[in-house]
This record gives sequence, C-alpha cells and structure tokens, in this order.
Amino acid sequence: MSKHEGRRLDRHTAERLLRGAPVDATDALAGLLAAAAAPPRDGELGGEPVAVAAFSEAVQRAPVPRPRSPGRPAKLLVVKALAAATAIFAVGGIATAAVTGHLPIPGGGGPSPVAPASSHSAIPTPVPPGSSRAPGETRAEQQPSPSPSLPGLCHAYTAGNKSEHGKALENPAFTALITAAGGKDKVDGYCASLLKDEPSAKGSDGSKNDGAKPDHSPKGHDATRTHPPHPTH
Amino acid sequence: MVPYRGGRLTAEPVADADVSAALERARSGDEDAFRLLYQAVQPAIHRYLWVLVGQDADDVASETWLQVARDLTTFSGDADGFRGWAATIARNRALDHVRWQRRRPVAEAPSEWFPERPAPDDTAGAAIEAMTTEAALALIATLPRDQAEAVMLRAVLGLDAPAAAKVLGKRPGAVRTAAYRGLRTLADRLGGQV
Repeated sequence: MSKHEGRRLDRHTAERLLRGAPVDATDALAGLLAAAAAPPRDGELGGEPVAVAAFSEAVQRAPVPRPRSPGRPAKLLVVKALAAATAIFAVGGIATAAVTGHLPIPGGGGPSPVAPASSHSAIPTPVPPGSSRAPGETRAEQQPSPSPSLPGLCHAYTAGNKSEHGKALENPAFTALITAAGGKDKVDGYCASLLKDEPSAKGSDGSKNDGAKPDHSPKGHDATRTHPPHPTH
Repeated sequence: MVPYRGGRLTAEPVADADVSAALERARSGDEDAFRLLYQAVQPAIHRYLWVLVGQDADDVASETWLQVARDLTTFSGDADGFRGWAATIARNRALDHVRWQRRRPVAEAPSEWFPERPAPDDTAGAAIEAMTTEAALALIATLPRDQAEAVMLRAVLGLDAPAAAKVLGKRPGAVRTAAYRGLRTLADRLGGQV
C-alpha cells in the first residue's frame, strides 16, 4: 500500500486525484477514489423501471411544460389561507410569492441558492396534481394529494426491496398510497390489483385507464430490477 | 483494481457526448435516452446519497429521479451540467429526507444535518484490504460532511470545483479546500494503516 509517511499530500496532487489524472505514489488514495467511482454494482440501477415510468408519465403530459405535481394542492392550501388572511393584498402578494418561490412551504426553497432542483417552486403556473410527489414542496405536508399518481407510487413501492416495504411506507412519499389503499397493510393488495389492471404499467393522474400505450410499457416494474448497464444507441 | 480515471464511474462509461445527445433526445420524450441518462448518472448519485443519508440512499435516489424525470424539460445544459443538476436535486431531496426524519424547523442550517459517520477502527483497514466501493464510501463518509461532499462531487460525480460549488452553494475556493483537506485526511488514514 501507499507510503505516506514523511510527506503530505500537496494541493496539486490532490487536484490531479480529484480530476482523475494519473498520479504516482499515492496508490492507496487513488485506489480508494477508484473504488468509490467503480463500476455500477448490483442494485444500484434497480430503480430504473420506476424512473423510466415516471419519465414516461411526464412525457405523456407534454406539451404541458410542468408535469403534474401533488405539490399544487399543498401550495393552493397555503395560497387560500393567505388569501383569507390578507384579502386585500392577496393577489399581488401571492403572485409575488409564487413568482419568487417564497411561499412558506417547507423545503420549497432548498438549501442551495442556486438550486435548480427547487426551481419548480418558482413556477407560478399552477400544475395539476398527478405525479407521485413534489419532494421539494410537500415533504412537511402529510396530507395526501387528492389525485396522486397511484400507479406510479405502486411502481415505486413494488420496485423496492420486498423486505424494505414496511420501512418504505414510512416515507411520506407513500402517504397518498397508504391512504388510497386504506392502510399500510393493504398496500400490497391494493397495488397488486391496481397494477394488474394496468398492463402498460403507467398511468397519469391516478387513472389507471388513462393513456396507456403498449409501446411505452416498461420492461417490468417488479421482476426486472436491473438492465443491461451498457446500452448503445 | 479498476483504474481511476476521469473522476467518474469508469467501467461502464457513457461518454459525455453520448450523455449530451441523450439529453437532447430525452427532452423530446425519448424513453431510451432517459434510460441512458439514468444508467450514466444514477450510480454516482446513489453513492453521493449514501454518503449523505446512508441506507436511505435508495429512497432518496428514487425521489431524485422522479423529480429529474418530471423536470427534465426545464433543464438545459450539457452532460456536466446534467450531473450537477441531478446532484443538486439529490442533495435537496436528501436535505428534505433528513428534515423529515428529524422534524426540525426548516430554517435550521442544513450543514448540521448530515451527521458524520463514526470511524470504526477497521474502516481504513477494510478499505485498504478489499478496496470495495462500500469500504471506500464508508471511509469517505467518516470525513467532516463538507469534505465528504466535496470529495464525492468531484471524484465520483466528476464535477469540477465551480460545478461542485454550485451544488453546495459555496465558493469554488471553499470546495477546493474542503476536497483537499478531505483527501489529505483520507491519505493520512490510509497511510496510518501501513
């Protein structure tokens, strides 16, 4: 293994290591970074069917620029509350708040001032509910979306490790699913029947018959958890 | 040992040009292109998240990709930009996750939220002996969080200092220093095992 005795890593070498440039005499550290960036392991790509299904769902809603999001109901509740409290200034104030993303929604701003991830909260255009969740906006709200993408949630749920399902349901992402199923212990059966009725494994706006297209069917939402890691196009 | 090169996942390389092309196609709705984006970036995202939230990385990665899928039409940029964008989403989702777990007020400083992992005595030894990805990540996770994040964003996500700084909301110089200190600590720990 590398011998680091007697000298410290200098900034130049560190920079080269971080960029992946060849360095000598720092074998252990280079090896560690190589291991950290090693090829994908089993399981690391296991979420692909869920991600692709979510993408398909988003694409289906095109040309609506903002895919449906359950963040809207939460935002609307806040907006309504604000409107009731500040009726006179509601229009201008809320418009400003919506545009600037400063509605008092926990997590709406994100931790980074440059975070594009939270940019959706700055879009004033109302988006209809439907996709699984708007994580940046709804984390603190426990109320389920009135019209979540239940098939999408079921895909996410069933795609997970079976032994982790109980734990997964503690995630607020699944609140709507649990509510729809009528309880945590009923989610398995609920999803089984829901997904059975939806061979295309995709749906939008919680409607299992909505826009199912065979040509977009995922390659298996449950059994197929990994895919050839090296597609060519 | 897989040679370390390029600062990002090396063995199933998806060339930046391919990623950029896939971005174009995915933005126009190409499912296979999105699949390629996932395969190209998810492993690094997952590892970054593992350093942040440990075993909950699976859940947070899923949430990350749901948002990526939903918001991809709003993204414009190249392969590097996409990595940074996805990393930013991942980081925000991780922050949300920790926030949700701890039910702390939103206004608290997020930098306190990701706990540093305790460093078991054998962590460095395990990294040396097997140099598995798990061991390497475990060792990186023992660093102070800002250092661990800087190392992960640069060495695993393949971001340059300005891009990593953008993800972290810091200045590039601060990220360079954090990454340097992180590597130095790692080198010391590895060297100390010899």
